[in-house]
Amino acid sequence: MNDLQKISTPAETALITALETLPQADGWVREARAAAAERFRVTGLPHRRIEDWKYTDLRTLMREVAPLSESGGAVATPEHFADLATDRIVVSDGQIVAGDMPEGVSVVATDDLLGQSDAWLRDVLTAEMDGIASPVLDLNTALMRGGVVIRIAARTELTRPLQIAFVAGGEAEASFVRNVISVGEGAIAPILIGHEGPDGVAYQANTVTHVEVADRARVDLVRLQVEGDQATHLATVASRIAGNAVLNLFTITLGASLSRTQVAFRMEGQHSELRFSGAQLLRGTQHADTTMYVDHREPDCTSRELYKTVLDDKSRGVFQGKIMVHRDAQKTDGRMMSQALMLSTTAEIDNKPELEIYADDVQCGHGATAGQLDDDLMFYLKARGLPPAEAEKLLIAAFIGEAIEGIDIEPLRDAVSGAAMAWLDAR
Amino acid sequence: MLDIKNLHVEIDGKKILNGLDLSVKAGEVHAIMGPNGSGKSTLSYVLAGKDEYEVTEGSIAYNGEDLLEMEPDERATAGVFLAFQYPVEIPGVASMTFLKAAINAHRKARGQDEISTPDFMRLIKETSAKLNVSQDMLRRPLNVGFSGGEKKRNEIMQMALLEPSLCVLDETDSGLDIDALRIVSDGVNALRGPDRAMVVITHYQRLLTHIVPDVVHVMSKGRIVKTGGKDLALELEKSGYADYDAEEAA
Repeated sequence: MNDLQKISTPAETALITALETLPQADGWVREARAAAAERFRVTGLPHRRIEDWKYTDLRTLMREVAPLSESGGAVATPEHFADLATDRIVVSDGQIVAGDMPEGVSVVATDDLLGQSDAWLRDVLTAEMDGIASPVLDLNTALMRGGVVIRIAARTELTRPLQIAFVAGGEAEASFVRNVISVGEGAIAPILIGHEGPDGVAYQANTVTHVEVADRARVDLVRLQVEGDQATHLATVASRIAGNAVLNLFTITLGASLSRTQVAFRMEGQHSELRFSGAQLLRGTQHADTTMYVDHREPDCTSRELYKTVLDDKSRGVFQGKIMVHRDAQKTDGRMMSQALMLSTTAEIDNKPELEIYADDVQCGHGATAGQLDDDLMFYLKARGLPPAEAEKLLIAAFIGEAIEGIDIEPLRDAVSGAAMAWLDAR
Repeated sequence: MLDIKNLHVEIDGKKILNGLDLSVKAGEVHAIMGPNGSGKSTLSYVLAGKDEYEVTEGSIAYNGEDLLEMEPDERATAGVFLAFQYPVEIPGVASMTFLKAAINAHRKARGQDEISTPDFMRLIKETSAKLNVSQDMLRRPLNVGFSGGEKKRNEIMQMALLEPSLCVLDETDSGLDIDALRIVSDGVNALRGPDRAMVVITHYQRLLTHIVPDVVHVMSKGRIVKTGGKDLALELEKSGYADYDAEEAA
């Protein structure tokens, strides 16, 4: 079809070389890895002429590829959110360390299920899902290793949050971690996911996490990205939501020099509620992209999205959000708002909200704003004695606070507030 | 305490104050009256340090210091308080968080430690009761959803909490009904004292029956054109401002 010889960048060449020796696999796993590798060989890294990647040109931004991680290193200890009262699972260097889990919670290595060509895992990993297909996902599928599968049995009610800490070791390596969090019918599950690693190490984390929400389940999921300052973080969160269920997802981006968080929701049942909120707090030359896709396929569901980006110095933020309403998804109620606060004149925000609606009886809306701190509010606070730095801090905290308030589980909300305040204190 | 000499102020190249002189001593309450557009509010903003106002000539000395050299927050912690005509709403900032930050900023400037939580709660409880500021108001984000009267009571409560030495009240009576006017005036009168000076800016005389001034000034076209005792306010109530506008135009 395309006769032109594609010129690969050094990073792409390195990745294609790495794909020549895929991890050992049988059955569907081998097929899936091979097919994904082949797709990547054709596409290469996504670049600005691909609509979805217009503002995050990975071909240009990812100049080098770190060597693939070897599992078996020492398990790193999480430093963030270490003193929360949670049931903790640490995933580091291909190893999983979990304490005693509450009844109804099972934790297994994704690698074990892949090794058995497990049929349930196949159904989750290969389920039809719009809004996530990308060369980044293909790389993960071809090379996936070292993830965790957490299954929460039907009607389990977790009394304290489950904490999953993904910790990068001290090496400048590339990892391709694949996880599943599956929440059974009627279960109640507050979950905190942390992605962290050391500063000063140019590691590359490509993680894909499937979140399966069964009928009548309620999942409160908070995701904190606090990767090291030289890290590249490419994350995909793919969530299928059944009927009468609630998913309240909050993601905050604080770390990594380059990050893309791609989140997709497939509303497969009726009367379900999706809430997605979060914040990106960026400084220096950080580049962070949050791209969201909500796929309304069934009637009577609601979705609410509120995303806040704060940009300082020469940072660049991207928020792309799309709500898709299929013809059968009547009575869909979807609202999306993305707001950016610019603290410097050299920062950049690219805000792209989209609606695509095929049903005729829906309520959908979106908004996007970008602005600076309000002079009148600043003057009022200064006139009450607050030094400019403190007045700014109060107003920035108020700006992101509106999104943080959407977290219903108090310890999770406190963890996010604490992380945001630490960012503000370091300004 | 306050010594303004030959003050000229512009905003976006438009002259608002044209050689204003005003001297206020500790313990005195001065009222500044005048028609709309005479520059009353500009004077209050210049005293508080709002930066879009450009002082092209003249000086303001506050307790012997050059006020114009000080940043807005430095003026505030040095004891200058502006009760805003239109207090801003700040969604997301809890009233209590704001009040504590303001009190601590003043304490820090005086070299004191931060106020303890029990002391803060006690102080708020006492002060809010006097100004009829409800617990519900204190639980809300700053001024958000407050009525005009609630906002003004909140301003005077802040004034009481921060114990300034120079209080500038900009049209504090606007938007108040009779009851609210009494509550606010009682709050202001309670703060009168030998070490404190007040500049009360108002369009109408009625506030001055509650807060009785020592000196009344009439402003027109960016200058003070007449100064007298408290009876001057009553005189103005009868004759209106027309004479002063005409006088300037002549």
